[in-house]
Amino acid sequence: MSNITLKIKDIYGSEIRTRRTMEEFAHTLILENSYLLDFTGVEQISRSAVDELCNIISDHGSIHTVNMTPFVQKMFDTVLISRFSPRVRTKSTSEVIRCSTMQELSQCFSELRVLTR
Amino acid sequence: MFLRSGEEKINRLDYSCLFFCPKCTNKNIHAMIFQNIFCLSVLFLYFCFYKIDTMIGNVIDIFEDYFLYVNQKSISSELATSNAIIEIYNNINYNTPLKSATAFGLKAMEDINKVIDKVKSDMTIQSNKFADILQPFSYLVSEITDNMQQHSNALIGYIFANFNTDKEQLEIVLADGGLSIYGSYVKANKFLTEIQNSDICAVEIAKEGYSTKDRPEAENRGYGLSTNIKMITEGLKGDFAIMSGNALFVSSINKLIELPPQFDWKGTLVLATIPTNIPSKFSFYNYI
Repeated sequence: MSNITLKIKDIYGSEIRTRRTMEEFAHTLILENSYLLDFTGVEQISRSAVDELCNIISDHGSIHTVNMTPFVQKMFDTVLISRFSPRVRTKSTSEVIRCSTMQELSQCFSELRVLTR
Repeated sequence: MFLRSGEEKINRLDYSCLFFCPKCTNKNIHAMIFQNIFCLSVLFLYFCFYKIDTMIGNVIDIFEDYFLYVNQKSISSELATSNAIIEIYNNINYNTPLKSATAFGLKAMEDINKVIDKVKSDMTIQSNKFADILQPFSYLVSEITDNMQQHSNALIGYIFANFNTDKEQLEIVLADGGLSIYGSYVKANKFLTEIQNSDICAVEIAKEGYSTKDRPEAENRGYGLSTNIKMITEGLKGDFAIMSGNALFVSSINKLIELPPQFDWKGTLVLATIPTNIPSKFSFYNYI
């Protein structure tokens, strides 16, 4: 078993955009090792990437993080809270307009254009 | 619409065109475009941003032009998109390339990162006001690209972006030619009752955040689309539209339009307009 420190910016850059990046990271991990993820210099991270990182941390059991920028930390905190909270949806059902011909579609757009002005 | 009279032409200056496709070895732009029909479809929608008598930023006008043109030509549904694009392209001065229009492979993160960085650079050059919306831009592009990778089953994505200096807003299209939202739910065998064999229903639940890939113990996914719609429409007073299959959703008016049978987008397209005049009370963190 080894204790390994990984500088995330050196591996994935200052902006971590997608869940796929973290999925690829997960494949590099060895279960027996302990990891410290250093986020120094990581300026941006997407919500999806953070969620995947949370999955990795949860599944691996021996991963810790340090040196998160305020933005990254805030994203992390937001995702963690939402994972453990019931999902609240707006349940706003959009009005459905069915157009079976081009004429109906044009008429629909004419009426909708008024709404957008 | 710029093509109705046949006399109106688009004249564009100083565009930079960057097309590359992992499958294409022919770097000739014309050949690449004609080889890639889906790309042309998205290209056409991009040009719709620049129609004369423009209502740039009004997504209704943008989509209506596309549908009207396809319908005018009475082209069968299978060929509608490709023929429309080829004819439009022939009317365009193709010495004037696009601004930051790019196809990218969805498998390699290096590919995606390079493309997004290029778009950021191009938009920054177009206007220093782009920096004001860099955060929402990054969030939008990251999450929608993530959706393409996770759900579309497509090999290639497309991103078209332009900074409209007149209206001081970013206009961006992200698209794939994959499963469509409905197809993604069917493939995952999730929410089949809710989607009811309908693109409309599939888009409805997708924008509410129903994901095919939640963990068993938590609804941890499905935030990318829903939060972006809310952030851009409510928070930033922009607009957001999704076209997938024969469903078109426009967020600013909260309408779902079931399109006539001849219009069936084989994949998913997202169109967003983001003004740089950010409301004083806007906080990015309220929307993620």
